[in-house]
Amino acid sequence: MRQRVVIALALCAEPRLIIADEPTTALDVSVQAQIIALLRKLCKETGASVILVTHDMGVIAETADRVAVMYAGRVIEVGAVADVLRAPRHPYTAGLMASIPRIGEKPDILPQIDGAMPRLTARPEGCAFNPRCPKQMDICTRLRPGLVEDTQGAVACHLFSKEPAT
Amino acid sequence: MSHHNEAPLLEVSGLRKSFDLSKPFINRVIERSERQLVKAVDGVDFTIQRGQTLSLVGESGCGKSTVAKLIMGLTRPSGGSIRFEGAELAGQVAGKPAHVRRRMQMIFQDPYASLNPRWRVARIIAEPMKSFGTHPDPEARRREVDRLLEFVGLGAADGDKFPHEFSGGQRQRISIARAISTKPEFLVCDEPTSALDVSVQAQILNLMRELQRELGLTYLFISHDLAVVNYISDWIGVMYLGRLVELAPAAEIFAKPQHPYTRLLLDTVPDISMSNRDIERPAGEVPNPITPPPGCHFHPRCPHANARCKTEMPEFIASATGHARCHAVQEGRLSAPTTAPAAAGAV
Repeated sequence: MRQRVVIALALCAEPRLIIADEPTTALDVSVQAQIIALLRKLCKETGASVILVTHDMGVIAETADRVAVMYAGRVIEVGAVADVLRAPRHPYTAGLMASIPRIGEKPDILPQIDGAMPRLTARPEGCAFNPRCPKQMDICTRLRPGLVEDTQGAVACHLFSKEPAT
Repeated sequence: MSHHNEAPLLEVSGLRKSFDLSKPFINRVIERSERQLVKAVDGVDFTIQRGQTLSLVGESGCGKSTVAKLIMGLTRPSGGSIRFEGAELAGQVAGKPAHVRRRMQMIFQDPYASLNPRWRVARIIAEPMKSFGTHPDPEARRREVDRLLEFVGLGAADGDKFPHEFSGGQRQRISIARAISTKPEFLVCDEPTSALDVSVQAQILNLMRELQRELGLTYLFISHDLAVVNYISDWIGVMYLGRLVELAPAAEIFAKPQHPYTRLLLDTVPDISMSNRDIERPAGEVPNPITPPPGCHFHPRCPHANARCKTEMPEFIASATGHARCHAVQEGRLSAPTTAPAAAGAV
């Protein structure tokens, strides 16, 4: 109920853009589903755009059109939600998606990304994800990959660099 | 309630806890108001076999964390019994009787609040060993701390650091090291991964499964995340407003949910396969537990409720997969449950 009031407050000036920072994190699943539905319905009706900030892949799948994945202060992958969630390209996104437990599947060991997010004061050289990356190459420790756009979206990873790594 | 014939490690029956929310006596006399009791836990029964995991799921305020606190003796039950290998714990204070309590430990939800910020990690982990006297010699205790730190994936040198020097996932590893320091057989885990990111959550869940395999631990796992619960549990109990409404083996409760509330919970899990993005979402919120609806607590939100559900509380009796508390299930009024699609819970 309180979150509904907050949404009403946000909408009353008829904004063109709403920034929703973890709008459902403090809520139970059944209420969360209602808030997501409400937010989507209102946006459809008023034509407002939403930047949804969340760590919940389920909410992203239900709500967003496009998604940008961030790691250590930088965007590392952008694309349509269906593409990024079903066929993630950056090894970090792939690791994240694999580590989510799913109902109906019960593996012995959940795939996990070893290690932890680096401190922003001690970001690794090259690609910030390289110490944890299962596909780490030589170049990854030396050169930070830029966010390269293509037809599917954008990804910042040497695996997808247009020129072969030298 | 189990396929095993041996005696369960933990047996909870008729467990109750009421909290008194009444105004002071003099106000009640002046305003002629009644006493107000909230039944946080209202008659809960379950057993856990050695080496298995039972999870309790439900929305905020359903009483699942209160059950955890009652079992650990952090709050006293208003009624019912809690037996650990036959020893009665209901009515005993926290830490007593010591020879039983040493075998039970708890992991808390918030890894930022559950570690003393002024203590070094080695002292935090050694505290249960010290208070239960399992390692009286300080040097042996420190060696055991070093071993535990490595066992949970940290380094022995980390013992000299303070909790603020660690990330959330690392802190939860410290909590786990502390919990297993007295070699308990039974762990109560109250939302141990709710405060963590997905990638860290996977690490902690894997660690907990590994500990269970290596040390033969028995878990009572509390969570609101159905996908996490599906991964970690052998049995699952669904709670609604202080009562268990369904209890069944994990595989069956998701494949064949009996109780309408279990079905509602499964329907509301966000679906990362995006196959049913536009389906209608169930409505309603959990009612105020101070004035719960009469009869079946769930009837105002239930699509199958009839006159009987509004007046008569259903019993908790055997269903096709386990136990359920529902007139409609017992009368066979419900259609066959639909199988849930692959879905992911909150991350």
